[in-house]
Amino acid sequence: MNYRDQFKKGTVEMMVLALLMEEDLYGYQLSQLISERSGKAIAVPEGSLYPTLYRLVEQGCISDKKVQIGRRMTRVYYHLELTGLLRLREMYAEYQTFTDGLHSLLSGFARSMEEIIS
Amino acid sequence: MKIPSPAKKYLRAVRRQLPCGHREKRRYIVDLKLAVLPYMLLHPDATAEELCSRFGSPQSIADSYLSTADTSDLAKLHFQKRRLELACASLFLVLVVGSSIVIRANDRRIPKENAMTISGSIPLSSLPSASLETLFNELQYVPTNTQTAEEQKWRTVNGIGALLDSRSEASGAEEPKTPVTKALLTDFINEAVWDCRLRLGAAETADPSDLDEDAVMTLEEGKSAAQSQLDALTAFLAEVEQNATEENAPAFWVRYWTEVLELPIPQGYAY
Repeated sequence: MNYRDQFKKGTVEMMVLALLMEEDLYGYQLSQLISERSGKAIAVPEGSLYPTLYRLVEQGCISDKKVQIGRRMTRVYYHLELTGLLRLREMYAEYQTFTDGLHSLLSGFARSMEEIIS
Repeated sequence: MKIPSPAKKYLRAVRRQLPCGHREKRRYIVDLKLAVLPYMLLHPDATAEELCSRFGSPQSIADSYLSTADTSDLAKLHFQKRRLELACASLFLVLVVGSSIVIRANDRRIPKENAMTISGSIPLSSLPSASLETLFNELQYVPTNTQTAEEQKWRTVNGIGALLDSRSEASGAEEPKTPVTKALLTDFINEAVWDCRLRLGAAETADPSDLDEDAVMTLEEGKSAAQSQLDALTAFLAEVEQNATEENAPAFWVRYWTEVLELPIPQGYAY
């Protein structure tokens, strides 16, 4: 079972908002940066990003802009809005609280597992 | 632009898996296609598997939709599916009794030549509005095997739409869920224009072997139909831009769905 995909759910939004804080990006760039910055530990293909991006646009956290590239192609760039910045701050605070709690819960387990295995 | 076969297969597979309403599904597929087609230009030998790796497998995309959807949206989708089951059961009952469908002309806008008849059957007008709405939304995407069936389908869809409109008028118009503005209407028309141009581009350069298994037209017919639709949309868009205001935008909205889009959507280059 791919546990990493389970852990990814709920954090893609935060990753997108964090990356857009630096500059406006389009879908493929977001996907590439998530992979690069996480040391390839997290992979979110471009197609899987769209639902998150749509939701964030609907909620006013980000805005989108179509840019013509060449004669036939367009690219959609996403821009972080103030609402998104505030949400990112809130999410990150919650995330830190959650992971700290999870870490302290599991640290005892890790020691026990080492003892059982050894 | 010719849509390569691996891209078509991939987009079709994604479309089948997406757990959302048709409007959202269509928006998603249009956006995904805008990303896939340039990729195929740079990687003409890419397979469907490579597209899955690059853009996400249909299942992973469906999972990402579910993980971002509100529970109320999912509940609404589930409820819509249940209504569809009820509507399909009702439609089956109608079709079993005879070989066509009676649409009682409560609405004077339905031309007589569009009325399809079968005597003794359960008329659509006896179905509840909820079932008719679901039928109206779902029937548009039912694939057909012949041009005649395709035209019959669209006459039925238009008739159901007109019946719903007349009931709405009789009972008092409901508040639209999303206000119809000139900007919203223009977006819808532009999306349809873009869609037609993609289809026209595909028709211009396609080979007969590119046609889908469920294609109901020859290449020339497909091109002609896409061009007709594009002409109608372009003319209507010009009229909207010139004459539409925020006050009369809803009236233009109704015209868009009942008059401009009444042409059968060319089914030959499904994606």
